[in-house]
Amino acid sequence: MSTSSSSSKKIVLKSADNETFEIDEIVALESQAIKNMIEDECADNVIPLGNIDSKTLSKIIEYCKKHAESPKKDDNADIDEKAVEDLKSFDAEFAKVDMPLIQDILMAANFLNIDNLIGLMCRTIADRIKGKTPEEIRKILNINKNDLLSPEQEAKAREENSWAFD
Amino acid sequence: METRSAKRRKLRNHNHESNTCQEDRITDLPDAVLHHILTLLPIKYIVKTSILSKRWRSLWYTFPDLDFTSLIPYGTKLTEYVTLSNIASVITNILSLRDKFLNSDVRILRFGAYLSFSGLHALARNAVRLGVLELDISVATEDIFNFPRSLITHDSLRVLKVKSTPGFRLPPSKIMRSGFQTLRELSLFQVKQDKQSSLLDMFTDSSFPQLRKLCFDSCLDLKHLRVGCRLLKELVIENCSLLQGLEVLSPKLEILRVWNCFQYYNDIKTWLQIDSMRLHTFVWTYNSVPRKTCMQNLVCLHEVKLSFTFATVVYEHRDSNKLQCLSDFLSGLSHAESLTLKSPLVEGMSRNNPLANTVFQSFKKLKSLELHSSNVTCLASVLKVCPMIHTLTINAYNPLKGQTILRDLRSSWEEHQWESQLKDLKPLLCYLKVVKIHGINDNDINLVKFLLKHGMFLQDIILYLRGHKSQSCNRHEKLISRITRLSRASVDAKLAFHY
Repeated sequence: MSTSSSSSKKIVLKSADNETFEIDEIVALESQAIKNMIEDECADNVIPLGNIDSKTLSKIIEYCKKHAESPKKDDNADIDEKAVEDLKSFDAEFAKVDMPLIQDILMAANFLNIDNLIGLMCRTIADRIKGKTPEEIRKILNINKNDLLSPEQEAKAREENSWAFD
Repeated sequence: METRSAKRRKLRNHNHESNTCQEDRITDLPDAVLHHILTLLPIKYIVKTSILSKRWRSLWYTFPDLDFTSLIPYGTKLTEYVTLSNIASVITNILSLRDKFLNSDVRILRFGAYLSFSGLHALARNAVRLGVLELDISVATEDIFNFPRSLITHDSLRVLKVKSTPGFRLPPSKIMRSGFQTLRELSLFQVKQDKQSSLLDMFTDSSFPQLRKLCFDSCLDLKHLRVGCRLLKELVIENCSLLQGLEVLSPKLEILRVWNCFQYYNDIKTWLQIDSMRLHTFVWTYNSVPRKTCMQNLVCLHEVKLSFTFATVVYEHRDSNKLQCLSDFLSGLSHAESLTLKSPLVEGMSRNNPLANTVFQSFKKLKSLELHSSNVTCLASVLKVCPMIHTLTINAYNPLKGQTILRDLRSSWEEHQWESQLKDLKPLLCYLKVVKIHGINDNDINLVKFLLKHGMFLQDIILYLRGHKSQSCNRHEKLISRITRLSRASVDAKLAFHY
């Protein structure tokens, strides 16, 4: 079902660490931000992404490729079902990475405005912190130690919502 | 954002170099993204994140989508809410703390609770004060309550869903009509109407100017309803069993769904009038046939789903007047190309030719037929009289028992019995291009065999196997290989299997 062909238009993305990635335009269009740039004709041949490193960018391209290739909703409903299954298992595999990378992907997906990917990363983070104690969550998300509440503030917050902390 | 991130990157690189701990990446994300993460958690866990750090505390106080429904154990009935008495105070408390913070508006407020009248009205006022856009409440109260008037004039409300026991009273039409200027969706459950049992002048063409979707459920006093709201796209009426008159004049209506209403089988003068050029989907299930029907201009109608009450199906075909009512009712639907017939109508039609003929004669443009039936004998007799269609879908799942219902193939409908129907089914078999069977299992193979053997122009046979992929892998594989080996009359026939 690949929609790419050798004749299709290419876009080059350049990561923060100056690595370049040549991809089909249709893959790049998964990003609403790039789509807007192309539509407004303010995209050069090379789009520099100064805040995304090559490791993160290659993950994002992997995601966009898969999603650009799979049939969209308006196609035959029967193909849909299978494609949806397939995408689901791809997404599940895709999200099996460590938390720092998930956060980097989320930041980049937010910058590039890729809705589905933002959703997937948010779901992944939510799943990983669900049911954990505050201490565990701080560790998982590596929350800044300078930003912690004072013991008094924390006690007050616990009291305000004592029903949730029982 | 770029400069901030660039700074962070430098910092991170520096950290990597000096091999210290990693930074807190997530903090830099905009509130909207972090709120997105919170929406995926039950309210209890969201509240717990408020002590993670200062950043997360402020995220909690500005979190706009408050959904408290997870505080109610799954399956709890409205009437049992009284045992969950602390929920109301939790919600009240959280809303009252909101004021102290900037950007603490509430976008969505969704909850279920047992409330006093004053508690309910106070919550409604609080929700209005916080600028709520979507209010979705299920409440149990001691007695029937009056609909909170503060909501009517609240000018940013987009969605309102009210479910309650023992029910609530709406204010007079005049007051309702004057408010709700921005409301897009209204859903009412158990409205009580002491004196008036009709809502004929509430939903006029000028009231509810933005309303797109309107739902009534279990409004047991409702007898007459007229809806003319200009922008309405979808109207759903369920379980309003005494409803006897419905008039829809909304010019943009696309979907009408009436389920388990019009529960009459004597001579009550029930009526239905629809005049909506854009109507696309018409669902009329488990209702009787109105005595008087006027459906005009349904030129865009595409999909019709039908079933009637048991009494209608079983008794009324004996009465020629009532068959005429059915014929009048169906004639308004004649533009539809796709028809779904549900139980018990399929069974009724199989036993009763006048009924079957009346139904099928009305649908001159039919291309696709879907049958939900409890037995295969019925299927065959309905197919014998059905018009020439391209797509046939058989839904063999029995929703009540979770079983496939083609099971009596095993005993009475063996292969030769399908073959004996060949003469009658031949015309249909010359037309059929696509066949879909939902919930197929080993017992249904004779039907598939018959269709493949005689369907000369079949292009696609799509079979949805029963059960989960993982559970019954071996059995499915055997079934698939048996079906794949069957002989086919059409060289183009493609088989596809889904789970």
